[in-house]
Amino acid sequence: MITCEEFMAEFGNYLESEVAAEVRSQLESHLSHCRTCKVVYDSTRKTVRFVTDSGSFDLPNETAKPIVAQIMARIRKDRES
Amino acid sequence: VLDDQLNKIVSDHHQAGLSRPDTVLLDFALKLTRSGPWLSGEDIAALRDQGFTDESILETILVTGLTDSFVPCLQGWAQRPISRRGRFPTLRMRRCRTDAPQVRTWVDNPEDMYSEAERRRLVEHGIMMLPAMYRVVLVLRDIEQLSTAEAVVALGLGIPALKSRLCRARLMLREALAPHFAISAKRMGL
Repeated sequence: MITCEEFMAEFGNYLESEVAAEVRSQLESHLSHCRTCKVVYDSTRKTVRFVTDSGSFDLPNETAKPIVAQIMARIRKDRES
Repeated sequence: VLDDQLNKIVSDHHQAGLSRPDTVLLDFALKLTRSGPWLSGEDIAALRDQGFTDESILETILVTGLTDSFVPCLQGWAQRPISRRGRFPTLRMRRCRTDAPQVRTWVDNPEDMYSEAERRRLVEHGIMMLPAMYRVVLVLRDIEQLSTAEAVVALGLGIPALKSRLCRARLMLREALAPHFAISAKRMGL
C-alpha cells in the first residue's frame, strides 16, 4: 500500500493520466481508503475543469500576460510556418 | 526594454545584463528546477557570498519548487555553519503540499454555487495570486492549451520541472478556491 507522500509524488502525472496501469492501480487503491488524498484529487480536478472550461480570462496586463503573449506569438508563428 | 530583458532572461539569463547576485540567484533556481533533487553546501555558499541572507535563500527554494513541509528542515540547516566544501543533507523535491489537516470536501457540483461570471472572477483572482513562475505554466498549459512539449520549449524548462510547477500551480489554485467551494462554505462576497 502506498503512502500519501508517494501518492502526491505521482499526483501530477495521475491528473494528466500519464501513469502506467500498475501505478494507476496503486494510486486508485490509495484513494479508496484515504479521504484526504481523495478530497485533494477531486477538488483539484474540479479546479482544472474550471480553468480549462472557461476558455479565457481577463488577467491584468502587468502579470503573466506579457511573457505569455510573447510565447504564444512565437508558437503561433512556428505553427504557421 | 523590459520585454527585451525578459526575453533574454528566458532564453539565457547570463546574457541579460543582470547584476552578479541576480545571475547567481537564477543559476541556483535553475539548478533546483532542472538538475534534480540535490542541494549542496557549495550552492548555498555561492548565494551567501553574494550577500543573500538565509531567509531569502529559503524563500528562493520555496518559490522555485520545494514545498512548505521542508521549511523546518531547511531552517535547521541554515542555523549551522556551512563550510564551502560541506554538503547539506540531501532532500527530494517531488512532494506536493496537501495541507492535510485543513482539507475539506468540495460540493458535488461547485458550478451551481456561483454564476459563471462569479466563478470566472474567483478563478481569475486565484490565478492572479499565484507566484509568477507558477502562473505562467498554468496559463500556458491549462488556458492556452499548450502541450507539455510546447511549454517546455517556450519556457526553457525540463519536463520534470514543468510538470512539478503545473502540479504545484493547480494545488495552489485549489487552495485559493477551497474557501468558496468546500461543503461548509457559504457564498462569499464577490
